[in-house]
Amino acid sequence: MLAQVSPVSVGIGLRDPYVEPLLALKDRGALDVLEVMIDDARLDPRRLDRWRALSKRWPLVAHGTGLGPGDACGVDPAYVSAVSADLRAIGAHWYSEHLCFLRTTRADGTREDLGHFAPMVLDDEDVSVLAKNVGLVRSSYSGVFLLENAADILALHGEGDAAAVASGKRFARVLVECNVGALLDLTNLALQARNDRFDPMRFLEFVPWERVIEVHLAGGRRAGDLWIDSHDHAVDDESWRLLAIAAERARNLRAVIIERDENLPPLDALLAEVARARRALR
Amino acid sequence: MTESERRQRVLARFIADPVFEARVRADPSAIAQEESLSLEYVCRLAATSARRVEAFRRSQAHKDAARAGAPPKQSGW
Repeated sequence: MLAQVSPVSVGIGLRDPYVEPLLALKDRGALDVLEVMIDDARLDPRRLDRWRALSKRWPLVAHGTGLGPGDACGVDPAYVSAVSADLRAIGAHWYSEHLCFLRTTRADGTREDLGHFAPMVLDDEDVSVLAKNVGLVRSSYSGVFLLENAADILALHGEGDAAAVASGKRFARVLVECNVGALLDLTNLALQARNDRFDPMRFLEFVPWERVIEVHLAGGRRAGDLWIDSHDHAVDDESWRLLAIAAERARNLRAVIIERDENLPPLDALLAEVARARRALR
Repeated sequence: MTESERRQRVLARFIADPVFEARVRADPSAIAQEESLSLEYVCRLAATSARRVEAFRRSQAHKDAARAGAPPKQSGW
């Protein structure tokens, strides 16, 4: 299945305002792949039809935000089943999620949704939780599953070089023990490194590169003295620099996706970033 | 309830409830005992700077507003 998106496809994260311009785009070769936000289909199933129309022009990969693979209270089997059906319906080449937890159990037994990716310690018990939840995904979805290094504004692993080493080693361990691929978000890494005062190269020392299937690039912004992974600016220079390094090391890399969630520019601006990513991959 | 579940519950409460956050910062040992959690984890939370907690809360609120307001999609933040 991965071979259908090869050698390295470059594309954008699909957002609703880009659907019509993409369907009307004359130069189909201006991008190679589209990444859909699979949870959006559950909010409006009509999106599936639009995505299927787009899938006739470009391969689709799927990114999720609602699974909570680290939820110690367990992921919702009905959610997994519904997402799996949507993944099959659009012929997604793979499905990625964030390495985080999203929900917890209150003292009264009800579930609470944090509405935000929350960081995990990633000790033995957390890794077991992840493996169990990934297993549930696998029981419903037979395609390739990737986990992304999510940004942690709380700096649960501390700051400085020790934080780079701890987070890099733990990310690697999760990938190996859950036997999943990696979605390496280079902008998350660049901003985390800036906030936590470490060299992103130290984190990259521990990445099991053979597992890196996809890369995300975006642009963040500064809020006070912290950088936020806001996806509302063009890709920053540090992320471009890291892409060149990832391109050399990740031999199984299949896709690079430019993400933009807010302050959406015209499609042409994103396609210019796609072209730049292609140049970086040569 | 497992240690992971207890940690996640306490982190959620730490973010959601400024009074609880203040208690964590003031006396991590008491919270660790009360919640049957490792002191090391509670101390990590207590050491999290207020500006980081505030940034997390702002981001949460931003996402809630985006979800309530319309075009969903939000990925990384």
